[in-house]
Amino acid sequence: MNRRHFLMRSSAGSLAAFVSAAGPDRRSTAADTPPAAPAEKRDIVLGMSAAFTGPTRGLGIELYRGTMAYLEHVNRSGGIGGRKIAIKAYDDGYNPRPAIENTIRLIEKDDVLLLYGYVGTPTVTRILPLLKLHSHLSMHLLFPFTGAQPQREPPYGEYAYNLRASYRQETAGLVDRFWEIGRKRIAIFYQIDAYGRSIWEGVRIALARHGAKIAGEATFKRGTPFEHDLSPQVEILRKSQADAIICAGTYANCGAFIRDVKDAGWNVPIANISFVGSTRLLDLLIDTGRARGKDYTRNLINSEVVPSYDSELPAAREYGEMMDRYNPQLPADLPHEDCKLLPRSFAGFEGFLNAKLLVEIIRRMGKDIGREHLRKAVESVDRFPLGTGDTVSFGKGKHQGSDEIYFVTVEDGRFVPIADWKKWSP
Amino acid sequence: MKNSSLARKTLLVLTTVFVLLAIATTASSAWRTRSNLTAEYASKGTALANNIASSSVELFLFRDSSTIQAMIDEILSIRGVAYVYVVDPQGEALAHTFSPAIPDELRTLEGVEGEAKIRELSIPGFGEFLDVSSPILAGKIGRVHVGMDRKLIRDAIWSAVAKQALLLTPIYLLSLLAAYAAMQRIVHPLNRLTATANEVTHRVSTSTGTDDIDSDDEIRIISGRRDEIGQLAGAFQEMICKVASREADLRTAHDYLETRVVQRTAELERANASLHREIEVRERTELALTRTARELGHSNTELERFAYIASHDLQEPLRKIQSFGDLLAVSAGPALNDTGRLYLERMKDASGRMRQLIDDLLNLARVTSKAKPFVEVDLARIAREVLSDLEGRIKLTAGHVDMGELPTLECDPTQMRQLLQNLIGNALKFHRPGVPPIVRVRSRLLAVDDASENCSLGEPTCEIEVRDNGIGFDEKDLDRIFTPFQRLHDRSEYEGTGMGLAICRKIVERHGGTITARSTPGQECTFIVRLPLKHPTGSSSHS
Repeated sequence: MNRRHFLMRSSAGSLAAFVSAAGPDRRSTAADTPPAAPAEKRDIVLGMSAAFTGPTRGLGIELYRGTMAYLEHVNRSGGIGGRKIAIKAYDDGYNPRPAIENTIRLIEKDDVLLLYGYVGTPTVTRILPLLKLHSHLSMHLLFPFTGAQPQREPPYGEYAYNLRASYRQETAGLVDRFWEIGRKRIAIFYQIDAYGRSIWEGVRIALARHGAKIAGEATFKRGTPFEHDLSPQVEILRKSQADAIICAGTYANCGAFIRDVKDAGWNVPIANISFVGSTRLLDLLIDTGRARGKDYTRNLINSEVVPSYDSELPAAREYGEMMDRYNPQLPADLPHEDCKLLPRSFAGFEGFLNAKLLVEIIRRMGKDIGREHLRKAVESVDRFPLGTGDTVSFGKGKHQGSDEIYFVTVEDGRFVPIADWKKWSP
Repeated sequence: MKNSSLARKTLLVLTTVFVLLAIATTASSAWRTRSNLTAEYASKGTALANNIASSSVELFLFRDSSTIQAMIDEILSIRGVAYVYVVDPQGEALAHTFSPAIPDELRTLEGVEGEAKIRELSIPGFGEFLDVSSPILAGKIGRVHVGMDRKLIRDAIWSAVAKQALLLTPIYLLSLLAAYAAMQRIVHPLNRLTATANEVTHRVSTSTGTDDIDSDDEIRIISGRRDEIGQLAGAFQEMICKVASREADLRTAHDYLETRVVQRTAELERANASLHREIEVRERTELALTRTARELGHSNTELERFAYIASHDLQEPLRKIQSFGDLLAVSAGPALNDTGRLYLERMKDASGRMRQLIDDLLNLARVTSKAKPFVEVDLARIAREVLSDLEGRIKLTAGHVDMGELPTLECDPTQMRQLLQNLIGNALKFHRPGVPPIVRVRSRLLAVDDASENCSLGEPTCEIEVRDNGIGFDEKDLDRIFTPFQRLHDRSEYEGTGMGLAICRKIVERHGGTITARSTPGQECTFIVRLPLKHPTGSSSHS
C-alpha cells in the first residue's frame, strides 16, 4: 500500500485553498442565475455535527473529507441543477450535549436541507427526538456513522436513513464466525455508553441464539486516550478465560486495549467494529509497534460496512482518485487540533459512498429540492449500484440501504479480506 | 517576648481554646453538612431511580438497551450520581455505567420490591456510595440502582471544614496578634521590673551601689499606668527608693565605722607605743626600784639589826647603871645631901626613861624581827583581852570603851593585840583634862572600790575606826605622829616615848594595810586602820 501521510496543520493557506476550490465555480454559476436569488440561497446546504476534536476526531475528519472528495467532484462538475452542495459542519467532540445544540442550530438557524454525516451512537441517539420534534419540517438524518438500533427502530427510525449495516449485523456476523471456528467464550470490551451498549446487546443477542452468554465484559469511558493504561480491563477479560474479544470503541482506546493485551502476552483474537476507524487504528498500532519493535497487528479482525478502499472496485478507485485530486481540508470555522490526515481510510471511503448516494438522492428530487420531497426521493432508490459490487435499496419501512458486512484482517501492515477464518481456530 | 512563660502560657491557653472552638464548630458544621447532604442525596437518588425505573418500562419493552444506556448516561452527568445500574430479575445487567466492570458488591446486592430502598455501600477501588434501588414494573422487568457518590458529601464536608478554617484562621491570627500586643503590655513591664530587680540584687550583692537605679525612666512611665502593672511598678519603685536609701545609710554608717576603726587603730597604736615606752620606763624604774628596795631592805635590815643589837646591847650597861644607882642610893643615900639625892633621883629617872626608850625601840624592831606567821584570828577576842589589860587605866580615867563588832582576819595575833592596845591606850591617854575619855571602836567591810585605793589589789578589806573625844591634833602633823620618837606634847603633859604610833604603822604595813588619822583638835580624833581579811599564800611575809 502506498501509505502517504500528510501532517495537516491549521493554516490560512489550507483554508484559502479550500475556499478558492469551491468559491470561483460557485460565483461563476451565480453570475448565470438571476440576481434576485442570492448565491447562498442557491447552495444546497447539508448540516453535519461530528467529532472534529477529541480522541475520536479522526472519524469525523475522515468522514468529512471522504464526503467532500465526492461533493467537490460534483460541485466542480456543475453541481446539481447548477446548485452547489455545501456542508455546514459543527464539532461536537463525540459528546451528546454539543451534538444536540449543533443540531438545533442546524435546523433552526442554518435551515439545512437535511442532517448528514453524524458520527457516533451516543450523539445520534440523543438527537433523534429533535427530528421527531421537527417532524413538521420533515427534517431527516441521512447516513449517520453508527450501526446502533435507535435510528433503525421505532419511534425514531422513520426520521433516519442508514446506508451502513447495523451493529447487530456486524456483531452477529462476528459472533457467528467465532462460534463456527470453535471460539465460543466471547468476551466484550466496550465503551460504557450507548454505542458500547449497542454492541454489547448485539453480541448478547447473537450469543443467545447459540444458547450462550457473554463470557466476560470490561468497560472504559468514552474519550479514553491511547496513552491510557487499560491493563485492568485486560486483566478482567483474561480472568474470564475468553477465547475471543469483540471491541466496541474507537481507534484510540481500542488501540490502547490491543496494545495492552499484546503487552500482557495474550494472543487472543480481537475483533473491532466498523466504527473503530480501522485505518487510524492500524496506523496507531504500526507506529507503536515500530517505536517498540513489536508487532501489535497480529490476530486482529475488523468488521467493515464498506469494502476495502484499496480494492479494485470502481468506487474504491474513484475514491482514491478524488482524494488525490482534491485532498479536501476541514472548513476554517471548525476548531482545529493537530491530526494526521489520511490519504485513504475506511471512514473516508464510507463518507465517499454516503456522498455518492446522497447526490443521487438529491438529483432524484429534480427541481423541487426540498425537505418535504426527501422521503420520496430516498425511498425511490432501488438496487442502486454504488460501485462496490453491491446495490443499495430503500423503501417504505426500509431505512437501511445496505446489509453488507466485510471482514478484514491485517497482513503485512494492511487490511486484507479474511480468506479463511480457520486460521483462528483454537 | 522570648523567655516569657507568662506569654507562652497565655498564647497556649488561647490556642487551646481556639482549637477546641474550631473543632467544635467545624465538627458541628461538618455534621450538619453531612446530614443535610445525605438527606438531599438520598432524596435526589430516590427521585432519579424512580424516574429511570418508570421510563425503563417503555424502553425495555419497545427499545434496545442502548437507549436505556443513553438515558442513564445522561443521568450520570447529574452532579452526585456516581453510577447507574439496571439489572433484570435474574441479576443480568441490562445497562450500567461502570468501568472497567460492575463491582461484585453491587452484582450480589439483593433485589427490592415495592418502595425504593436506600443502602450505604462501600465498594473497594470505587468508593463509598448511597445506593438507591428502585424496582422496574414492580420488579418484573428488574430494578434500577442509582449510586450517589458519598465522596461528594465528604468533599462538601471538607470544603465546609476548609471554609470554617479559612474563616477561623484570620480570626485566630487577629486574636493572637491582639493577645500578643496585650501580653507585650504586661510582659514587657514585668521583664523590665525583673531586669531592674536583678540589677538591684546584683548591685546589692556586689556592693556597686543602688543610688542611680531609681532614675529608670521606663519604670517611671510604667508606674504611671492606671492598672495593676502600674501599681506594681509604683510599689517596686518605692521599694527601690527604700533599698537605695537604706543602702546609702548603711554605707554612711559603714564608712563612719571604718574611719572610726582607722582612728581607733591609730590611737591604739599610739597608745600601745607609749605603753611600750612606759613599760620600758617602768621596767627600768622597777629594776632601779628593786635595786633600791633591795639596797634599802639591806640597809634597813642592817639598821634594824643595828638598832636591835644596839638597844639589846645598851640594856646591859643601862641595867648596870640602874643596879649601881640603886646600890648607891641604898649605900650612900643617907650620906648624900639633898642635892646629891636629887641628882641621884634624876639619874635614876633618866636611866628608867632610857630603859623605856630601849624597850620601845626593841619593840619596834621586833615587829619585823620577831614576826609570827599570819593565822586566822577573831579580832573581837583580841579586843576583849586588850580591854581586860586596860581595865585599870579605864577606871582611872573614868573612861568608857564602846567596842563594836570586829571581824575575823588573817594576821599576827600578838601584833594585832599590840595594835589595838596602842590605839585604845592612846585614846584613853590623850583625853582632855576633866573630860572622861569615850572611845568607840567600829569596823566595817569595805567595798572593793573603797579598798583599792589603799590596799593590796582586790583583796577584801576591813576598816577599823578607833575614835575618841580627846585632845586631837592638828592634821598638818599627821605625818609626824607615825614617826618614831616624834611627840606632839611635852613629856610632862603626857608620858610616853613617841614610839606607839610608829609601831602601829609598822604592824599595819607588815599586814599590807594602811593607817591614817583625822582630827578636830580639842574635840576628837579618829584613827582609821584598813587591813586585808586574807593574805595570798606566800605573801604573809615580813615587809
